[in-house]
Amino acid sequence: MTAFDDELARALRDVPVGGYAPIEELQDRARQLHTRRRLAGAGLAVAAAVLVAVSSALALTGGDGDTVTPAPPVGTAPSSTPEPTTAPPAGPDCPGTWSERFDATQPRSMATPVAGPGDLPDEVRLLWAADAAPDPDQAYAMDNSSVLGQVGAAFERCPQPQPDRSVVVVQLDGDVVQRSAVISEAGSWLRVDPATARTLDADGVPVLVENPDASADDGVRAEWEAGGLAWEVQSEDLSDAELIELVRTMRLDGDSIDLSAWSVATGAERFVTGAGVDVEPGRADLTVVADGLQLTVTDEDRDPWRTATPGSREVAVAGGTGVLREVADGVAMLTWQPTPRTTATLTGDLDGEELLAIARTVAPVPADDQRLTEVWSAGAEQ
Amino acid sequence: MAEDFADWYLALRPRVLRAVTVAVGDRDLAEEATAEAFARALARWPAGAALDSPVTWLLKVALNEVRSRWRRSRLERRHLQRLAAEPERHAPAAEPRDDALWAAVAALPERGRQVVAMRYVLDLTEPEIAAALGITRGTVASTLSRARQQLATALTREETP
Repeated sequence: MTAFDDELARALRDVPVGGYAPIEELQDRARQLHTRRRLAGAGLAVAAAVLVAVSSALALTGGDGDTVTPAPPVGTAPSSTPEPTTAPPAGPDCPGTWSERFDATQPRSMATPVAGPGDLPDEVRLLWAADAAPDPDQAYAMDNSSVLGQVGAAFERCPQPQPDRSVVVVQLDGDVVQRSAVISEAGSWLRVDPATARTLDADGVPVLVENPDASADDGVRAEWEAGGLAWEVQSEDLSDAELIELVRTMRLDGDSIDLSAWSVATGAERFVTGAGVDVEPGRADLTVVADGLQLTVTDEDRDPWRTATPGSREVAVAGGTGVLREVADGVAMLTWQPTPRTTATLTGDLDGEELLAIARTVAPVPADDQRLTEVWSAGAEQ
Repeated sequence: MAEDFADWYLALRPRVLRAVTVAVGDRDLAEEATAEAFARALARWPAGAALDSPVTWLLKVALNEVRSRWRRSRLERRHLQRLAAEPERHAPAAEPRDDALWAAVAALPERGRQVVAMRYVLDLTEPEIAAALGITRGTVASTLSRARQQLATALTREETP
């Protein structure tokens, strides 16, 4: 250690930190983790046996489309057509979702820096046109393969994770988002903090609602359990009555979430199932930074509508749909899918139209593109 | 068992919270993530007591928590808010050294903060850091060197070998 190292170590010991959680809080949280794990395991068994009924409401199901029949409650497999290939694997040792498997693998190894642009998959090595924006000041990428390998090895005896169970509901006025909500399976870890959450009653189902006053920038977040599975909804704007209606009317049809009886979904212009909330994490992600501009690309299939918030705009980019929004004062963000298996995000302190014009030029570049190779940082930055 | 964990928690939490705070660059998130890491250790207690390097385990679990989809969205939002407020952040001001150092730490790249936390708060060696992060020792050294240069200004002195 040099004198500088000693001084830096001393100075870092004086940097103010937050408070320590009371041990009672940790004990409560640890009990929740146990409880949720048990519930998840029990729920799978219950779902297989089709014993749970949380609501008697009717909902439209498949078939000829004209028949009204009682739909299975959320979390239960259809009684007449069990789907062993899509049902979650039995037992808490085989978590059903990607995020649960990642959560259960602790501690995980860390992603490693990519040595150069040539080591990236072609579909991830994207950049804007040279005449559309300044050359990058910095470019780097992370390789997630070792993490995926570790998680895969931990569950090699398990079936493939279940498909993504999520829905995005978007109400539009023209191309401008008025309201949006993301509904998804919550997995085994409680996300809403019960210490600060309010509890609503939806026909006997407790719904934990994160207090908007405590985290106003996150809007409304709520969690509940039904049929042995845990669900969450996130939205900038949902009333308590709409939350209760959601819990009462939502159904699971195979791996698809049926919201046909929820009034918010009935009035929606966009309804995206399997929106990419809990999908296989990408193996590589690229970040390119220029003056006031940042592009990230990853080989993950995540629908851009997940990012929609009131005021966002639906735009056309790369032959598909993009979602453009102002994420902070003077900072715009555009998310789109250059290919069905990749997701890109361009952020900049630019006008939305300027950002969109740049995004429309983003395309694959060769491994030896000098704008990337000259500023590539393999490991020193992230 | 509860008493064993309580003693373990009291003994480890100062170093772990400080390391997570430096590694994350956000005090509120660090507080949440550290609590979550200890809760997960308690949930699997007494296995936690038998860990070879519990502090490193707790730090990695906390960092994974921060990178999870739930926490990460909040972190990204705060980062963007800071980005929007950048002119104000760079306004000259006579700040106490701790504040200047904290701002410099928060401005480091994520990997830089992690390495600094492991080296200067947890007092890990470069090979130990390399093993914990799954990177080469050379990458640790180059990351550390760059971070030291960036933090030297905040310490109002030149770095000397």
